[in-house]
Amino acid sequence: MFASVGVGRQLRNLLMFSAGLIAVAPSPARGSGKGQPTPNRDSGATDLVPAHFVDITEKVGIRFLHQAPHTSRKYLLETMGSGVALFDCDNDGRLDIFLVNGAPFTDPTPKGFIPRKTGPEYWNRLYHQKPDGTFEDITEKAGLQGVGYGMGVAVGDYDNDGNEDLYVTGYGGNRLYHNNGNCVFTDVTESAGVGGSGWSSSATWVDLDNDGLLDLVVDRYVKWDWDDIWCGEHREGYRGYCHPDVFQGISMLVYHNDGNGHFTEVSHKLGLDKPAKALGIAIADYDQDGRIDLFVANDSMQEFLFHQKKDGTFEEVGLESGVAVNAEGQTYAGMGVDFADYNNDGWPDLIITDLANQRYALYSNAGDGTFNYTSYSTGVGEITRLHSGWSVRFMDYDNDGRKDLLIAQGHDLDTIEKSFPQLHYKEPMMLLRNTGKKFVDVSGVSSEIFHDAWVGRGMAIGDIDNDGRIDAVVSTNGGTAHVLHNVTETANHWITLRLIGHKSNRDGIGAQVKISTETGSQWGIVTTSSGYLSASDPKLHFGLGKDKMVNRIEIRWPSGIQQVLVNVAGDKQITIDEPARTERAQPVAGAETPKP
Amino acid sequence: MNKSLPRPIAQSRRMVSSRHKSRTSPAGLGVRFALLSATVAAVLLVTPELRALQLAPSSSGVTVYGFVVDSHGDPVGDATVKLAGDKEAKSTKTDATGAFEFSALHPGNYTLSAEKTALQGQTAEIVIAPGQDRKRVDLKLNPERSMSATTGVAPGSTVSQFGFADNPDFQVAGVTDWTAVGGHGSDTTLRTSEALARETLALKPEKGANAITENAQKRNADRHRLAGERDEKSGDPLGAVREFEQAVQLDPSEDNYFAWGSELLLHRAVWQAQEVFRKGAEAFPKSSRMSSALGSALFAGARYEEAAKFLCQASDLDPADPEPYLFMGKAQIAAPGALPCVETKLARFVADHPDNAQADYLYAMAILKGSAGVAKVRAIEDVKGLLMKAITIDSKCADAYLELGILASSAGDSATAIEDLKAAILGNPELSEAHYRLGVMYDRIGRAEEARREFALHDRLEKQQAEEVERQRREIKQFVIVTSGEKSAAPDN
Repeated sequence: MFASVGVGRQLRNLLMFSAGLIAVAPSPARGSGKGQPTPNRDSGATDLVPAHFVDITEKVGIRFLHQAPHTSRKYLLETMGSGVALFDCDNDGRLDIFLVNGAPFTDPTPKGFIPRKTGPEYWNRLYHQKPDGTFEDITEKAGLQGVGYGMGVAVGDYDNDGNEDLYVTGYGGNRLYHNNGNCVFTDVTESAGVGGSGWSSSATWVDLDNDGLLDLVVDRYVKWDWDDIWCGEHREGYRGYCHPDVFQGISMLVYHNDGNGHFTEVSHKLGLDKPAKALGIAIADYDQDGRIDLFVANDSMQEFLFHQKKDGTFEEVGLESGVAVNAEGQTYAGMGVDFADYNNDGWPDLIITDLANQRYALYSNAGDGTFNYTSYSTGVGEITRLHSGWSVRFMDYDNDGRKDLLIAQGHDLDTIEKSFPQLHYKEPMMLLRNTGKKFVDVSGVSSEIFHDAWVGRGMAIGDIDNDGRIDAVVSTNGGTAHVLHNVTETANHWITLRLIGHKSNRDGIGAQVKISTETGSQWGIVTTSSGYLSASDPKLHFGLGKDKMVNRIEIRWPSGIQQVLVNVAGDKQITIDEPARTERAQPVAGAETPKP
Repeated sequence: MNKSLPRPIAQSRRMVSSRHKSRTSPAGLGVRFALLSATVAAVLLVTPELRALQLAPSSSGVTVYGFVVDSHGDPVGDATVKLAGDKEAKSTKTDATGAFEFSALHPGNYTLSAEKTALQGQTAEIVIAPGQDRKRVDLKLNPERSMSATTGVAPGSTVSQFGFADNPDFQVAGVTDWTAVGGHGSDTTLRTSEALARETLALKPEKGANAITENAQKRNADRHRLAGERDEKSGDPLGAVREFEQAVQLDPSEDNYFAWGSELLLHRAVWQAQEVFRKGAEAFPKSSRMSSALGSALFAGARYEEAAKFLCQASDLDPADPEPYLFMGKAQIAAPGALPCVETKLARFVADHPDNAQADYLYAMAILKGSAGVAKVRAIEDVKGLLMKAITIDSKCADAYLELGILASSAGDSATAIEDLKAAILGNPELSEAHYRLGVMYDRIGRAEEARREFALHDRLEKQQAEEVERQRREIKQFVIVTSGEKSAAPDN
């Protein structure tokens, strides 16, 4: 068991020894591990830096309406929403948008029913970004209409052919779409053997065994079959969606990529088949032992942290590491999750969203295999206590060098205001700015979209117009999608890194990157997952504050190859190819992408 | 939160105390008599920031939009907003977020006003210039002069003049199961609300308050009340609530009001219980238990600030009685934020009841809830002092030990934390949080076996307690309420 402090320290020391060449791993000493963001940068400005995100959905031609039938039976499926992906389907350097959609069902619906999309209004949609920044609906040409009631989407180039493939989860089975190039996809679910069963939610592409091929981990929510159970107050107009306690948990599906277009389900073999009520998933090597770990956000039961052991199997260490419950020992309705280093100490931290009266759970990584619940000390608990969050990402909206928090919100019960007038089914987005000391709510001083109430569910992030500011796309339950263009005024600098793996998986998923400037260091991990049901651009974006130059970029690829770049100018995107072997410091590798 | 900038919707994240006026005082209800609306002075909030947010011009006329907020900046739903210009006049209602909008307007001078029952209205003069597209104007409503129970009727006056006792706006049409209410995510406050409702029933009247039975009608009323008590005991809440209502109609005494309201609260007719207790508190402004009961019913309706106000009032009416303090202390622990007046009243509780460990514990918890940042750091020593006093008075005060354990563990003092948590468990072996926290402390110092044992105990207790709550909830029959103008709508279970 890795949990104890003593073993943690030993591992850490070993790691520091083995990483002698470069120090992607953070420095060992971290004091008491209280978890407040490190004040390593002086923005000199007030804490409340307004964000300016503009809703450009209509302007850029996205006309998507999510279909979530609302029945008198209050089927749980109706309120869970569907995800969104921001990815580049044709490698033209511009991000495209994929939106997952629901399907019809009747009131009541018989047991055993698997919904099917019956018309274009239920299709999933692929919108391709044109050079002028507007989008065209290429769903039919792409062959991505989909079949059932869609939930999540995961993006990854599973066959390393240079084109991003899509995995779409849903109720009653999932689909794998191979990208043949130019945004034309083929449904290869059957030959790949990844159809799954039951009710799947978020999924992630990640190379679990570092063999250079992305494997696939799929959350499943609960065992559920149109159960007609009255939950909530037993009177007209008060029926609500059932608490997950009413349903049995179910284990995740884990598909090992065999490399020949076929996958093998290995959840039991890897020790990942613990019954869960999983809605969110995120990856990180939280103990820096060179093996990727998984965090699974569970709804109203203990959260799971799967630590990968040396033999490649996993042990669930949520309780021992302090992330299974909140500080009071209570479970909460874990939904969205992100796993990234918000306090710039090199150790990936966790944020998990949940429902009102529970407070979003922030855990800072103490660096010894354990985490501290820091919702209270960082202000996150106080700010979020009356909110219900779903997709969530650490992202630096103002490029000041500290990761902030962007959250899609809205209660799961559409009747909540009847019993609790201060809680809301529709809520505005929340933006929490990381001041280096705590998080402050800047939603109120930010642009109009932070005042518009939506039934927020999915959210993906990426720089849609390549201007160095991270944008977002939000999906809502039974509503329109929102493309949120970040035009926050700032003189801060930035850098965006596109990693291309060669020995490692081509997306570089799982690669850990440390950048250092005059002011300090920041860390990131390449992933397309995190959040809720959604997939984001794998490019790593860092705000640089007042620094125009990155002195050093250190990369630890999943293959174990280490790479150092020095003196890299900021305010641009650069592409970094994985070298054939560990190299000492080299000048900027890779080609610059064109400016917007 | 920056108070200088308007953020009406974002502030809806905070507690809204005035939102559900319309629920608790439906048309025709007596309490409404006191709530007059008015239209007065102007607040016009148009800041440069807001101008920057205006959208690009379009050709379909001008839109005026904005939010109506109360004096706390919380949104006011269902307010009437009127726009009057030289050529046109329009009216609309705000939605739950306090938002309103008028579109397709022509340039010109307009008067914009908002009003809402029990709030003082505001008027703003606005000018829409040609070429303008959207204009945002926020209006602020201030509370009218106090409408609290103390301004109600004097004791002894009959309540029938309010047209309430003989003409309530609701009817109890049946009973149904009470399970899994409020759903997902709100269990802490719900559990406290259920506990407070049970404790409300046990509140005793002041001595002599209802002792004298003067005439035949009053004696008849007493018979109905006693019949109601029998019905409730024998599992017929529907019969009971009708008897209690009958008793109030015959004799609107403190006892009868209290019995009727408590019956409604016990069976989760929360809004109706609020109405009855509110009337009772107006008629008997000196009744401490009526104010406590009203506070308890308001808490059940998530109207925390108002609940605190009445609980504080109850403690003022009878400072020697610990009950109102215990109610407000528990409400404060479960409420999402610091409540007004509670901390100072609990300070009095401590001063007046030097031998009551609960007083020290609840006051300590209120201080913790109320303070933040630097103030919190300073408050910690006071809090520790109070908790130490609590365990000196009562060596088995598990809650105080638990809190001391938490404070020690946040200060990095694991040895003390472990001692305190063990003491908490000794005081109350069922305290699952203490087991969890002790598990974490053991885990941090490498005592993995003991950690696992505590985690397992925590799991088992949590499960048991959840089952117990579920069992209690299954026993509760909830009243099905029909309000006037609404046809009978029993659930089709």
